[in-house]
Amino acid sequence: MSPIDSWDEATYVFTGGPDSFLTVLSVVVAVVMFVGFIAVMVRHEKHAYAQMIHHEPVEKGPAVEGEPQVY
Amino acid sequence: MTPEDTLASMEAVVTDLFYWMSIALMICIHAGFLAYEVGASRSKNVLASAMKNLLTFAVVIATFFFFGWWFYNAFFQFPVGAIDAATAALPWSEDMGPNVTSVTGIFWGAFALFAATTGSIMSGAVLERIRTSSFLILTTVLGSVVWIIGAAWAWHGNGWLLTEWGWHDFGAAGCVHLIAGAFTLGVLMNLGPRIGRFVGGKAITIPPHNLPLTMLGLMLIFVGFFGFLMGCVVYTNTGYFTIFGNPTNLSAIAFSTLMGLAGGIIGAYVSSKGEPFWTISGGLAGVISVAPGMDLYHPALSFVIAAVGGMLIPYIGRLLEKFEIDDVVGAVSVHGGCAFYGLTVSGFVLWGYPNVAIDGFGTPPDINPLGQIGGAVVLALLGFVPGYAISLALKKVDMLRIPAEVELAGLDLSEVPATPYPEGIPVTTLRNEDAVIGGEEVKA
Repeated sequence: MSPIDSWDEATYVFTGGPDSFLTVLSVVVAVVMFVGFIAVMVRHEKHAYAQMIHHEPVEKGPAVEGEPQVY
Repeated sequence: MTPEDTLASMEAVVTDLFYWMSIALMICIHAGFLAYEVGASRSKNVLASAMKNLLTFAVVIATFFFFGWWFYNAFFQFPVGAIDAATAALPWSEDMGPNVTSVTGIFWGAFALFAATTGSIMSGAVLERIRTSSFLILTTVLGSVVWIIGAAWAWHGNGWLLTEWGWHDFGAAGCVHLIAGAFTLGVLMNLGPRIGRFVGGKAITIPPHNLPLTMLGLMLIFVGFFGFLMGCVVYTNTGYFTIFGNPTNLSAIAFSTLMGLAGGIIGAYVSSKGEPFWTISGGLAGVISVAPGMDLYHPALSFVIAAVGGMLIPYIGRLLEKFEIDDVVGAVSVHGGCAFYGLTVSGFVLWGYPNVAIDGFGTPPDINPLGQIGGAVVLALLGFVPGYAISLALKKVDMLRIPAEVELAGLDLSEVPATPYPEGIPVTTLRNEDAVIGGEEVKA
Protein backbone atom coordinates (compact mmCIF):
# COMPACT_ATOMS: atom_id res chain seq x y z
CA MET A 1 0.00 0.00 0.00
CA SER A 2 3.01 2.33 0.26
CA PRO A 3 3.08 4.92 -2.53
CA ILE A 4 6.78 5.64 -1.91
CA ASP A 5 10.01 3.68 -2.16
CA SER A 6 12.09 6.24 -0.30
CA TRP A 7 11.53 9.26 1.98
CA ASP A 8 13.82 11.36 -0.21
CA GLU A 9 11.77 14.04 -2.01
CA ALA A 10 8.57 12.50 -0.65
CA THR A 11 5.34 14.52 -0.90
CA TYR A 12 2.13 12.52 -0.44
CA VAL A 13 2.71 9.51 1.76
CA PHE A 14 -0.77 8.19 2.50
CA THR A 15 -1.81 4.59 1.88
CA GLY A 16 -2.37 3.94 -1.80
CA GLY A 17 -1.48 7.45 -2.95
CA PRO A 18 -3.73 9.88 -4.83
CA ASP A 19 -6.30 8.73 -7.41
CA SER A 20 -5.45 5.09 -6.77
CA PHE A 21 -8.01 2.30 -6.70
CA LEU A 22 -7.45 1.76 -2.98
CA THR A 23 -7.97 5.43 -2.13
CA VAL A 24 -11.09 5.81 -4.26
CA LEU A 25 -12.44 2.55 -2.86
CA SER A 26 -11.81 3.78 0.71
CA VAL A 27 -13.77 6.96 -0.01
CA VAL A 28 -16.64 5.03 -1.59
CA VAL A 29 -16.82 2.59 1.34
CA ALA A 30 -16.71 5.47 3.84
CA VAL A 31 -19.60 7.22 2.04
CA VAL A 32 -21.61 3.99 1.91
CA MET A 33 -21.02 3.49 5.64
CA PHE A 34 -22.22 7.05 6.27
CA VAL A 35 -25.42 6.50 4.28
CA GLY A 36 -25.88 3.20 6.12
CA PHE A 37 -25.61 5.02 9.44
CA ILE A 38 -28.45 7.36 8.46
CA ALA A 39 -30.55 4.40 7.28
CA VAL A 40 -29.96 2.53 10.57
CA MET A 41 -30.93 5.64 12.51
CA VAL A 42 -34.18 6.05 10.57
CA ARG A 43 -35.06 2.39 11.22
CA HIS A 44 -34.19 2.68 14.91
CA GLU A 45 -36.33 5.77 15.29
CA LYS A 46 -39.34 4.21 13.61
CA HIS A 47 -39.05 1.11 15.76
CA ALA A 48 -38.49 3.07 18.98
CA TYR A 49 -41.45 5.38 18.38
CA ALA A 50 -43.77 2.50 17.49
CA GLN A 51 -42.74 0.50 20.56
CA MET A 52 -43.24 3.46 22.82
CA ILE A 53 -46.66 4.23 21.42
CA HIS A 54 -47.64 0.59 22.03
CA HIS A 55 -46.10 0.60 25.54
CA GLU A 56 -43.62 -2.11 24.58
CA PRO A 57 -39.89 -2.19 25.41
CA VAL A 58 -37.65 -0.81 22.68
CA GLU A 59 -35.10 -3.60 23.12
CA LYS A 60 -35.85 -7.26 23.85
CA GLY A 61 -34.75 -8.79 27.12
CA PRO A 62 -34.21 -7.26 30.55
CA ALA A 63 -33.40 -3.56 30.79
CA VAL A 64 -29.70 -2.85 31.03
CA GLU A 65 -28.42 -0.62 33.78
CA GLY A 66 -29.58 2.92 33.20
CA GLU A 67 -32.12 1.99 30.55
CA PRO A 68 -35.48 3.69 31.10
CA GLN A 69 -38.50 1.65 32.12
CA VAL A 70 -41.16 0.80 29.59
CA TYR A 71 -43.41 3.78 29.12
CA MET B 1 19.58 22.60 4.94
CA THR B 2 19.82 26.20 3.71
CA PRO B 3 18.52 29.13 5.80
CA GLU B 4 15.66 29.44 3.29
CA ASP B 5 14.74 25.77 3.80
CA THR B 6 14.83 26.25 7.56
CA LEU B 7 12.58 29.30 7.30
CA ALA B 8 10.10 27.46 5.07
CA SER B 9 10.07 24.52 7.45
CA MET B 10 9.44 26.73 10.47
CA GLU B 11 6.67 28.54 8.60
CA ALA B 12 4.91 25.24 7.97
CA VAL B 13 5.35 24.22 11.60
CA VAL B 14 3.97 27.49 12.96
CA THR B 15 1.07 27.53 10.49
CA ASP B 16 0.17 23.99 11.48
CA LEU B 17 0.40 24.85 15.16
CA PHE B 18 -1.58 28.09 14.79
CA TYR B 19 -4.59 26.39 13.22
CA TRP B 20 -4.21 23.29 15.39
CA MET B 21 -4.82 25.56 18.39
CA SER B 22 -7.73 27.17 16.59
CA ILE B 23 -9.34 23.77 15.94
CA ALA B 24 -8.87 22.66 19.55
CA LEU B 25 -10.43 25.84 20.88
CA MET B 26 -13.34 25.59 18.43
CA ILE B 27 -14.24 22.21 19.88
CA CYS B 28 -15.16 24.20 22.99
CA ILE B 29 -17.94 25.73 20.90
CA HIS B 30 -19.43 22.28 20.48
CA ALA B 31 -18.95 21.38 24.12
CA GLY B 32 -20.67 24.66 24.90
CA PHE B 33 -23.58 24.08 22.53
CA LEU B 34 -24.02 20.61 24.01
CA ALA B 35 -24.22 21.95 27.57
CA TYR B 36 -26.35 24.87 26.43
CA GLU B 37 -28.92 22.68 24.70
CA VAL B 38 -28.96 19.99 27.37
CA GLY B 39 -29.73 22.71 29.91
CA ALA B 40 -32.37 24.29 27.67
CA SER B 41 -34.19 20.96 27.22
CA ARG B 42 -36.75 19.60 29.62
CA SER B 43 -35.42 16.69 31.66
CA LYS B 44 -37.31 14.20 29.46
CA ASN B 45 -35.19 15.14 26.43
CA VAL B 46 -31.75 15.69 27.94
CA LEU B 47 -29.88 12.77 26.42
CA ALA B 48 -31.57 13.08 23.05
CA SER B 49 -30.37 16.69 22.91
CA ALA B 50 -26.84 15.67 23.86
CA MET B 51 -26.79 12.89 21.26
CA LYS B 52 -28.01 15.29 18.60
CA ASN B 53 -25.10 17.63 19.32
CA LEU B 54 -22.57 14.83 19.33
CA LEU B 55 -23.84 13.43 16.04
CA THR B 56 -23.90 16.90 14.45
CA PHE B 57 -20.18 17.10 15.02
CA ALA B 58 -19.51 13.64 13.57
CA VAL B 59 -21.80 14.01 10.56
CA VAL B 60 -20.55 17.41 9.47
CA ILE B 61 -16.88 16.51 9.86
CA ALA B 62 -17.32 13.39 7.72
CA THR B 63 -19.37 15.01 4.97
CA PHE B 64 -17.14 18.07 4.94
CA PHE B 65 -14.33 15.70 3.98
CA PHE B 66 -16.42 13.87 1.39
CA PHE B 67 -17.59 16.97 -0.49
CA GLY B 68 -17.73 20.16 1.62
CA TRP B 69 -14.16 21.29 1.04
CA TRP B 70 -14.62 20.81 -2.71
CA PHE B 71 -17.54 23.28 -2.73
CA TYR B 72 -15.33 25.94 -1.16
CA ASN B 73 -12.67 25.51 -3.80
CA ALA B 74 -15.05 25.26 -6.76
CA PHE B 75 -17.65 27.96 -6.17
CA PHE B 76 -15.91 31.22 -5.28
CA GLN B 77 -16.95 32.98 -8.48
CA PHE B 78 -20.65 33.02 -9.35
CA PRO B 79 -22.11 30.54 -10.15
CA VAL B 80 -19.04 28.26 -10.31
CA GLY B 81 -15.51 29.57 -10.18
CA ALA B 82 -12.92 26.88 -10.48
CA ILE B 83 -14.38 23.45 -11.08
CA ASP B 84 -11.17 22.23 -12.71
CA ALA B 85 -8.78 23.63 -10.11
CA ALA B 86 -10.99 22.27 -7.33
CA THR B 87 -10.03 18.72 -8.16
CA ALA B 88 -7.22 19.23 -5.63
CA ALA B 89 -9.96 19.34 -2.98
CA LEU B 90 -11.52 16.01 -3.95
CA PRO B 91 -11.11 13.38 -1.23
CA TRP B 92 -8.76 11.20 -3.27
CA SER B 93 -6.38 14.00 -4.31
CA GLU B 94 -2.78 14.23 -3.14
CA ASP B 95 -3.48 17.18 -0.80
CA MET B 96 -6.39 15.45 0.99
CA GLY B 97 -4.29 13.09 3.07
CA PRO B 98 -0.90 12.88 4.76
CA ASN B 99 1.47 14.92 2.59
CA VAL B 100 4.75 16.15 4.02
CA THR B 101 4.76 19.23 1.77
CA SER B 102 1.14 20.34 2.23
CA VAL B 103 -0.74 22.07 5.06
CA THR B 104 -4.16 21.58 3.44
CA GLY B 105 -5.30 19.32 6.28
CA ILE B 106 -4.99 21.99 8.91
CA PHE B 107 -7.01 24.50 6.84
CA TRP B 108 -9.56 21.81 6.00
CA GLY B 109 -9.80 21.06 9.73
CA ALA B 110 -10.44 24.66 10.69
CA PHE B 111 -13.13 25.00 8.02
CA ALA B 112 -14.68 21.71 9.10
CA LEU B 113 -15.07 23.12 12.60
CA PHE B 114 -16.70 26.27 11.20
CA ALA B 115 -19.03 23.96 9.27
CA ALA B 116 -19.94 22.00 12.38
CA THR B 117 -20.69 25.28 14.14
CA THR B 118 -23.42 26.07 11.60
CA GLY B 119 -25.06 22.74 12.43
CA SER B 120 -24.86 23.43 16.15
CA ILE B 121 -26.48 26.84 15.64
CA MET B 122 -29.53 25.16 14.11
CA SER B 123 -29.52 22.34 16.64
CA GLY B 124 -30.73 24.36 19.63
CA ALA B 125 -33.60 26.01 17.80
CA VAL B 126 -35.27 22.73 16.84
CA LEU B 127 -34.94 20.99 20.19
CA GLU B 128 -37.41 18.49 21.59
CA ARG B 129 -39.53 17.75 18.51
CA ILE B 130 -37.37 17.20 15.41
CA ARG B 131 -36.44 13.70 14.32
CA THR B 132 -32.71 13.25 14.80
CA SER B 133 -32.27 11.59 11.40
CA SER B 134 -33.98 14.46 9.61
CA PHE B 135 -32.00 16.94 11.61
CA LEU B 136 -28.77 15.25 10.55
CA ILE B 137 -29.82 15.36 6.88
CA LEU B 138 -30.55 19.07 7.26
CA THR B 139 -27.26 19.56 9.12
CA THR B 140 -25.35 17.88 6.33
CA VAL B 141 -26.91 20.20 3.78
CA LEU B 142 -26.28 23.27 5.94
CA GLY B 143 -22.79 22.37 7.15
CA SER B 144 -21.30 20.73 4.09
CA VAL B 145 -23.10 22.43 1.19
CA VAL B 146 -24.96 25.67 1.89
CA TRP B 147 -22.70 27.54 4.29
CA ILE B 148 -19.55 26.54 2.42
CA ILE B 149 -20.95 27.86 -0.86
CA GLY B 150 -21.68 31.07 1.07
CA ALA B 151 -18.11 31.00 2.38
CA ALA B 152 -16.77 30.58 -1.16
CA TRP B 153 -18.75 33.67 -2.21
CA ALA B 154 -18.25 35.79 0.90
CA TRP B 155 -15.24 34.49 2.79
CA HIS B 156 -12.64 33.71 0.16
CA GLY B 157 -9.74 35.79 -1.12
CA ASN B 158 -11.25 35.69 -4.62
CA GLY B 159 -14.94 35.44 -3.65
CA TRP B 160 -17.30 37.26 -5.98
CA LEU B 161 -18.91 39.33 -3.24
CA LEU B 162 -15.46 40.79 -2.55
CA THR B 163 -14.28 41.17 -6.13
CA GLU B 164 -17.59 42.60 -7.43
CA TRP B 165 -19.18 44.40 -4.46
CA GLY B 166 -16.27 45.17 -2.10
CA TRP B 167 -17.63 42.89 0.63
CA HIS B 168 -15.88 42.77 4.02
CA ASP B 169 -16.79 40.36 6.82
CA PHE B 170 -13.82 39.52 9.01
CA GLY B 171 -15.55 37.22 11.49
CA ALA B 172 -17.84 35.30 9.11
CA ALA B 173 -21.06 36.93 10.33
CA GLY B 174 -22.58 36.42 6.90
CA CYS B 175 -21.51 32.95 5.83
CA VAL B 176 -21.68 31.28 9.25
CA HIS B 177 -24.20 33.12 11.44
CA LEU B 178 -26.58 34.68 8.92
CA ILE B 179 -26.77 31.61 6.71
CA ALA B 180 -27.27 29.31 9.71
CA GLY B 181 -29.89 31.64 11.21
CA ALA B 182 -31.81 31.98 7.94
CA PHE B 183 -31.63 28.24 7.22
CA THR B 184 -32.93 27.59 10.74
CA LEU B 185 -35.82 30.01 10.25
CA GLY B 186 -36.86 28.09 7.13
CA VAL B 187 -36.77 24.81 9.06
CA LEU B 188 -38.71 26.20 12.03
CA MET B 189 -41.51 27.39 9.76
CA ASN B 190 -42.13 23.82 8.63
CA LEU B 191 -41.30 22.10 11.90
CA GLY B 192 -43.81 24.00 14.02
CA PRO B 193 -43.64 24.73 17.75
CA ARG B 194 -43.37 22.27 20.63
CA ILE B 195 -46.71 21.04 21.94
CA GLY B 196 -47.98 23.57 24.44
CA ARG B 197 -45.66 26.39 23.39
CA PHE B 198 -48.51 28.46 21.96
CA VAL B 199 -52.04 28.23 23.31
CA GLY B 200 -54.76 30.27 21.67
CA GLY B 201 -52.15 32.37 19.93
CA LYS B 202 -50.46 33.20 23.23
CA ALA B 203 -46.82 32.26 23.81
CA ILE B 204 -46.30 30.03 26.86
CA THR B 205 -42.82 29.86 28.33
CA ILE B 206 -41.47 26.31 28.61
CA PRO B 207 -38.72 26.60 31.23
CA PRO B 208 -35.35 24.94 30.63
CA HIS B 209 -34.62 22.14 33.06
CA ASN B 210 -31.18 23.51 33.98
CA LEU B 211 -30.56 27.18 33.27
CA PRO B 212 -27.19 27.25 35.07
CA LEU B 213 -25.92 24.55 32.69
CA THR B 214 -27.17 26.63 29.78
CA MET B 215 -25.22 29.61 31.08
CA LEU B 216 -22.08 27.53 31.55
CA GLY B 217 -22.51 26.27 28.01
CA LEU B 218 -22.56 29.79 26.68
CA MET B 219 -19.41 30.62 28.62
CA LEU B 220 -17.75 27.64 26.92
CA ILE B 221 -18.93 28.97 23.56
CA PHE B 222 -17.25 32.27 24.44
CA VAL B 223 -13.97 30.38 24.96
CA GLY B 224 -14.48 28.59 21.67
CA PHE B 225 -15.01 31.86 19.88
CA PHE B 226 -11.40 32.79 20.50
CA GLY B 227 -10.50 29.74 18.42
CA PHE B 228 -13.14 30.61 15.84
CA LEU B 229 -11.82 34.16 15.44
CA MET B 230 -8.23 32.96 15.51
CA GLY B 231 -9.15 30.77 12.56
CA CYS B 232 -10.52 33.84 10.75
CA VAL B 233 -6.96 35.20 10.53
CA VAL B 234 -4.63 34.07 7.78
CA TYR B 235 -1.23 33.47 9.33
CA THR B 236 1.92 33.72 7.19
CA ASN B 237 5.62 34.08 7.91
CA THR B 238 5.34 37.81 7.15
CA GLY B 239 2.42 38.51 9.47
CA TYR B 240 -1.33 38.24 9.81
CA PHE B 241 -3.92 39.05 7.17
CA THR B 242 -7.68 38.86 7.04
CA ILE B 243 -9.18 36.51 4.51
CA PHE B 244 -9.81 39.63 2.40
CA GLY B 245 -6.08 40.39 2.23
CA ASN B 246 -5.79 43.45 4.49
CA PRO B 247 -3.23 43.30 7.31
CA THR B 248 -4.43 42.72 10.86
CA ASN B 249 -3.32 40.91 14.01
CA LEU B 250 -4.74 39.09 17.01
CA SER B 251 -4.28 42.24 19.05
CA ALA B 252 -6.99 43.97 17.01
CA ILE B 253 -9.28 40.99 17.40
CA ALA B 254 -8.73 40.85 21.17
CA PHE B 255 -10.02 44.43 21.50
CA SER B 256 -13.15 43.80 19.46
CA THR B 257 -13.99 40.37 20.79
CA LEU B 258 -13.82 41.30 24.45
CA MET B 259 -15.54 44.66 24.01
CA GLY B 260 -18.16 42.94 21.86
CA LEU B 261 -18.82 40.36 24.57
CA ALA B 262 -19.06 43.05 27.23
CA GLY B 263 -21.31 45.32 25.16
CA GLY B 264 -23.62 42.52 24.11
CA ILE B 265 -24.13 41.22 27.65
CA ILE B 266 -24.84 44.69 29.00
CA GLY B 267 -27.18 45.57 26.13
CA ALA B 268 -29.17 42.36 26.52
CA TYR B 269 -29.37 42.84 30.28
CA VAL B 270 -30.94 46.25 29.78
CA SER B 271 -33.50 45.24 27.18
CA SER B 272 -34.46 41.93 28.82
CA LYS B 273 -34.54 43.49 32.30
CA GLY B 274 -31.95 41.03 33.56
CA GLU B 275 -33.47 37.83 32.18
CA PRO B 276 -30.54 35.35 32.46
CA PHE B 277 -31.09 33.49 29.18
CA TRP B 278 -31.16 36.63 27.04
CA THR B 279 -28.43 38.32 29.06
CA ILE B 280 -25.84 35.64 28.47
CA SER B 281 -26.98 35.16 24.88
CA GLY B 282 -26.19 38.86 24.57
CA GLY B 283 -22.48 38.05 24.73
CA LEU B 284 -22.80 35.97 21.61
CA ALA B 285 -25.03 38.59 20.02
CA GLY B 286 -22.40 41.24 20.72
CA VAL B 287 -19.55 39.31 19.13
CA ILE B 288 -21.65 38.48 16.07
CA SER B 289 -22.76 42.12 15.73
CA VAL B 290 -19.17 43.35 15.55
CA ALA B 291 -17.82 40.35 13.61
CA PRO B 292 -17.88 41.99 10.14
CA GLY B 293 -15.53 44.81 11.17
CA MET B 294 -13.73 43.55 14.23
CA ASP B 295 -10.37 44.02 12.48
CA LEU B 296 -11.16 47.72 11.99
CA TYR B 297 -13.55 48.97 14.69
CA HIS B 298 -12.31 51.07 17.58
CA PRO B 299 -12.99 49.12 20.80
CA ALA B 300 -15.44 51.74 22.08
CA LEU B 301 -17.38 51.59 18.82
CA SER B 302 -17.37 47.79 19.10
CA PHE B 303 -18.93 48.14 22.53
CA VAL B 304 -21.66 50.45 21.21
CA ILE B 305 -22.50 48.26 18.18
CA ALA B 306 -22.48 45.15 20.37
CA ALA B 307 -24.67 46.73 23.05
CA VAL B 308 -27.30 47.64 20.47
CA GLY B 309 -27.09 44.10 19.06
CA GLY B 310 -27.59 42.70 22.54
CA MET B 311 -30.56 45.00 23.07
CA LEU B 312 -32.18 43.82 19.85
CA ILE B 313 -32.31 40.08 20.50
CA PRO B 314 -35.24 39.91 22.95
CA TYR B 315 -37.29 42.03 20.55
CA ILE B 316 -36.46 39.80 17.60
CA GLY B 317 -37.38 36.81 19.78
CA ARG B 318 -40.76 38.34 20.62
CA LEU B 319 -41.35 39.16 16.97
CA LEU B 320 -40.85 35.51 16.06
CA GLU B 321 -43.28 34.50 18.81
CA LYS B 322 -45.98 36.60 17.16
CA PHE B 323 -45.70 34.25 14.19
CA GLU B 324 -45.77 31.23 16.53
CA ILE B 325 -42.20 30.30 15.63
CA ASP B 326 -40.67 28.32 18.49
CA ASP B 327 -36.93 29.01 18.49
CA VAL B 328 -35.94 27.30 21.74
CA VAL B 329 -32.54 28.95 22.16
CA GLY B 330 -33.05 32.18 20.23
CA ALA B 331 -30.72 31.06 17.41
CA VAL B 332 -32.55 33.00 14.71
CA SER B 333 -32.49 36.16 16.83
CA VAL B 334 -28.91 35.89 18.01
CA HIS B 335 -27.20 34.47 14.92
CA GLY B 336 -29.43 35.53 12.04
CA GLY B 337 -30.72 38.82 13.46
CA CYS B 338 -27.44 40.13 14.84
CA ALA B 339 -25.46 39.06 11.78
CA PHE B 340 -27.85 40.98 9.52
CA TYR B 341 -27.77 43.98 11.84
CA GLY B 342 -23.96 43.84 12.15
CA LEU B 343 -23.43 43.60 8.40
CA THR B 344 -25.81 46.51 7.77
CA VAL B 345 -24.06 48.71 10.34
CA SER B 346 -20.64 47.76 8.99
CA GLY B 347 -21.60 49.03 5.55
CA PHE B 348 -21.97 52.55 6.93
CA VAL B 349 -19.24 52.54 9.58
CA LEU B 350 -16.62 51.02 7.26
CA TRP B 351 -17.75 53.00 4.20
CA GLY B 352 -14.70 54.04 2.16
CA TYR B 353 -12.15 51.60 3.57
CA PRO B 354 -10.11 50.41 0.57
CA ASN B 355 -9.83 46.79 -0.41
CA VAL B 356 -6.54 45.18 -1.42
CA ALA B 357 -5.69 44.47 -5.07
CA ILE B 358 -6.07 40.79 -6.01
CA ASP B 359 -3.98 39.05 -8.66
CA GLY B 360 -6.15 38.40 -11.69
CA PHE B 361 -9.12 40.37 -10.38
CA GLY B 362 -7.81 43.94 -10.00
CA THR B 363 -8.77 46.07 -7.02
CA PRO B 364 -12.25 45.41 -5.61
CA PRO B 365 -14.56 48.35 -4.81
CA ASP B 366 -14.14 50.07 -1.44
CA ILE B 367 -16.30 48.77 1.40
CA ASN B 368 -19.75 50.33 0.96
CA PRO B 369 -23.30 50.04 2.37
CA LEU B 370 -24.88 48.60 -0.77
CA GLY B 371 -22.24 45.91 -1.00
CA GLN B 372 -22.65 44.94 2.65
CA ILE B 373 -26.47 45.04 2.71
CA GLY B 374 -26.78 43.42 -0.72
CA GLY B 375 -24.38 40.69 0.31
CA ALA B 376 -26.34 40.11 3.51
CA VAL B 377 -29.57 39.71 1.53
CA VAL B 378 -27.88 37.25 -0.86
CA LEU B 379 -26.55 35.14 2.02
CA ALA B 380 -29.86 35.25 3.90
CA LEU B 381 -31.62 33.90 0.82
CA LEU B 382 -28.88 31.32 0.28
CA GLY B 383 -29.60 30.03 3.76
CA PHE B 384 -33.38 30.38 3.93
CA VAL B 385 -34.42 28.86 0.59
CA PRO B 386 -32.78 25.41 0.99
CA GLY B 387 -33.67 25.29 4.68
CA TYR B 388 -37.33 25.88 3.92
CA ALA B 389 -37.46 23.67 0.81
CA ILE B 390 -35.71 20.61 2.24
CA SER B 391 -37.57 20.72 5.55
CA LEU B 392 -40.84 21.04 3.60
CA ALA B 393 -39.92 17.95 1.58
CA LEU B 394 -39.12 16.02 4.79
CA LYS B 395 -42.41 17.19 6.28
CA LYS B 396 -44.33 15.96 3.22
CA VAL B 397 -42.93 12.46 3.67
CA ASP B 398 -43.66 12.60 7.42
CA MET B 399 -40.00 12.44 8.42
CA LEU B 400 -39.48 15.88 9.93
CA ARG B 401 -41.15 15.63 13.31
CA ILE B 402 -41.47 13.00 16.01
CA PRO B 403 -44.95 11.60 16.82
CA ALA B 404 -46.98 13.63 19.31
CA GLU B 405 -47.07 10.73 21.81
CA VAL B 406 -43.28 10.57 21.82
CA GLU B 407 -42.98 14.33 22.15
CA LEU B 408 -45.29 14.36 25.18
CA ALA B 409 -43.49 11.49 26.91
CA GLY B 410 -40.00 12.62 25.93
CA LEU B 411 -37.34 11.36 23.56
CA ASP B 412 -35.24 9.90 26.35
CA LEU B 413 -37.92 7.27 26.90
CA SER B 414 -37.82 6.04 23.34
CA GLU B 415 -34.83 6.41 21.08
CA VAL B 416 -32.08 6.83 23.70
CA PRO B 417 -31.39 3.60 25.63
CA ALA B 418 -30.30 5.34 28.84
CA THR B 419 -31.68 7.74 31.39
CA PRO B 420 -29.93 10.97 32.36
CA TYR B 421 -30.93 11.22 36.01
CA PRO B 422 -31.74 7.72 37.27
CA GLU B 423 -32.09 9.00 40.82
CA GLY B 424 -34.19 11.98 39.84
CA ILE B 425 -33.50 15.68 40.13
CA PRO B 426 -33.75 17.28 43.58
CA VAL B 427 -36.58 19.80 43.65
CA THR B 428 -36.69 22.69 46.06
CA THR B 429 -40.05 22.57 47.80
CA LEU B 430 -41.45 25.84 49.01
CA ARG B 431 -43.72 25.76 52.02
CA ASN B 432 -44.65 29.39 52.16
CA GLU B 433 -48.09 30.56 51.20
CA ASP B 434 -48.90 30.49 47.49
CA ALA B 435 -46.05 28.06 46.96
CA VAL B 436 -45.59 26.01 43.82
CA ILE B 437 -44.91 22.31 44.36
CA GLY B 438 -44.39 19.89 41.50
CA GLY B 439 -45.66 22.35 38.95
CA GLU B 440 -49.06 22.83 40.63
CA GLU B 441 -49.97 25.95 42.49
CA VAL B 442 -51.01 25.29 46.08
CA LYS B 443 -52.27 27.42 48.90
CA ALA B 444 -50.63 27.05 52.29
